[in-house]
Amino acid sequence: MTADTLVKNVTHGSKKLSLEDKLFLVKTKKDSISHITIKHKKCQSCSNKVCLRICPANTYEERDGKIEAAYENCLECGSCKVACPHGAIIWENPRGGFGITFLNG
Amino acid sequence: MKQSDKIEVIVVGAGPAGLACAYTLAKAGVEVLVLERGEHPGAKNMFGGIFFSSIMEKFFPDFLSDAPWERFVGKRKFALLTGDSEMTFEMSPSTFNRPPFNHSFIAKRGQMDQWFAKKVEEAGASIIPNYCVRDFLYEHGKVVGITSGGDDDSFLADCIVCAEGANSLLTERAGMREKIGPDYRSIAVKENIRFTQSVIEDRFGVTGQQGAAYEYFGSSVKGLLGNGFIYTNRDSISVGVGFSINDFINLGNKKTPNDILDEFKAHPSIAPLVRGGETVEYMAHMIPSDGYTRLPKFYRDGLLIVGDAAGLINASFFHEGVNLAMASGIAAAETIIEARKQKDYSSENLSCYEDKLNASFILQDLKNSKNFLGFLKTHKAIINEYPAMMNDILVEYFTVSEKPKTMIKKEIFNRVRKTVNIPKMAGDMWGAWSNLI
Ligand SMILES: Cc1cc2nc3c(=O)[nH]c(=O)nc-3n(C[C@H](O)[C@H](O)[C@H](O)COP(=O)(O)OP(=O)(O)OC[C@H]3O[C@@H](n4cnc5c(N)ncnc54)[C@H](O)[C@@H]3O)c2cc1C
Repeated sequence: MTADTLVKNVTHGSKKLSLEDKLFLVKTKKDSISHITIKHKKCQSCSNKVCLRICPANTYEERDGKIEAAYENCLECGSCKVACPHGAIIWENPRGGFGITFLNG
Repeated sequence: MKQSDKIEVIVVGAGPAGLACAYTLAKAGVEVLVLERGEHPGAKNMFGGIFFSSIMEKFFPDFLSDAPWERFVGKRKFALLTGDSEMTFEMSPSTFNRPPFNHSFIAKRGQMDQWFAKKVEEAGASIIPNYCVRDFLYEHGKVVGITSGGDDDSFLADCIVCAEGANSLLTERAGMREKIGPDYRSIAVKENIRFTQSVIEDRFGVTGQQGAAYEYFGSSVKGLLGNGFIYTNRDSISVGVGFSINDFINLGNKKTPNDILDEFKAHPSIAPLVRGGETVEYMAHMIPSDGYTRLPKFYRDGLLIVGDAAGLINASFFHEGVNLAMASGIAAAETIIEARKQKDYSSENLSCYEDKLNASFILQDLKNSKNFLGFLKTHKAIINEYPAMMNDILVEYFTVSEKPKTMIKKEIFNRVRKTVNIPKMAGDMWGAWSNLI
């Protein structure tokens, strides 16, 4: 074995999961109502759009210039609300018993 | 609104802070109801993590034999990472490896919180899961109850304890603090990766119930203010990264938290540790970084704030949260027990909660590390340049060659002198000593 393949085997041994694969592993009880509301007007002046990057579940997406939230993917950390500089994200806890359940937290 | 029965005390949130508070109250014969939004206590919770158990052990002498901990922390490692290298300090003292195991146990919150909750119920408290508190109810400025948002769904109480954790929506809404902006929170993501027990033992050099806690500093998270970690459970490991949300925004990072976790996992020092396992869960949670000088108000008429919701976390090297949460919950309970004697839950009567926090390790430790994050923020060289330089020096010093060592030393010295401002570095090191440790 050459040194190169040795390094490769050691460092890239495991299959990389995509974010979708990871989200699929999370136990969720989906509610029919979204716990996230976006004030689209406030987004208009936003150049940074940190919501598209800060979310660990990639919940936010820009469609036709409008930010939308796929709330059913939300891991309920709340960092989108904290990060948004315009207060455009109204984030409430999902209703009792709905949303994620972590098994190995 | 339906006039619900009035309860003596309502606790919002069944994490360590809320449960410790409820346990102390129930033991003193106070009627207490805990409301938890998850389907069971622990369902919404994630930490590293090491459960610092000294308070738990005082509550439950059978903690060691009965509690669902995964492994005791027999081995601790503190590593400095550069982009592709590692420097490590590792310790495994004999005292950490025998009872009481330094009161440090790797655990999963889902299990630990449920175990604790059962004990709290046995002590006489009631816990209602699946119940999300939307807001407090007020009367003449005094907090008198809570509501889940529905018209007929509310509870009144003499006193409310808010133990809602780091996503402190109620605390903010009740005007107990300024708006939680990006500078007040870190974001953490972690994976649970399953292995056989023997792989864990071989890979981390642990045996039996012994476990390892590895913390990675330096530029472990792309130069952001934060760190990476690996903790060994019985048959899985927790691998995660956490970093300041503000720093994430300011650096105009194009990556996501998941990308940063994946890159941490791919670091040449981490990859061999996580290789070949099966990821079974992916989780996220915030960590408060309010710090000593920016803490919220702790009380008002009819309301006390405890644990992460009150910013009571030692977010320095120590990563202590659950023990501060529990201690603050107990302090709140003791305050209520006193106030109950006079049936007076006014802010004046509840103010001794803050005195108790001040007198305990909670606020003293927060005070001690009050400059931790601020110092690192303004001295980024400690995260990036200095570890890289130290790595280069060590590499050069230990690189095998036929050059005489005296010459190597001279070369190293000359290069260091050229690349860094030595008096500044000395000042930074002194600053690090006084602000970080
Ligand atoms: C990645 C990470 C690693 C960490 N590592 C460690 C570690 O190794 N050791 C350590 O000691 N600490 C660690 N911590 C910190 C520790 O987890 C917290 O300090 C601790 O959990 C705080 O306890 P708490 O009871 O205040 O809040 P939490 O544990 O967050 O509990 C709050 C509870 O309130 C419930 N809740 C919230 N809002 C409502 C509502 N409106 N209605 C009803 N219920 C509600 C939640 O579901 C939750 O159960 C870590 C944290 C993170 C995120």
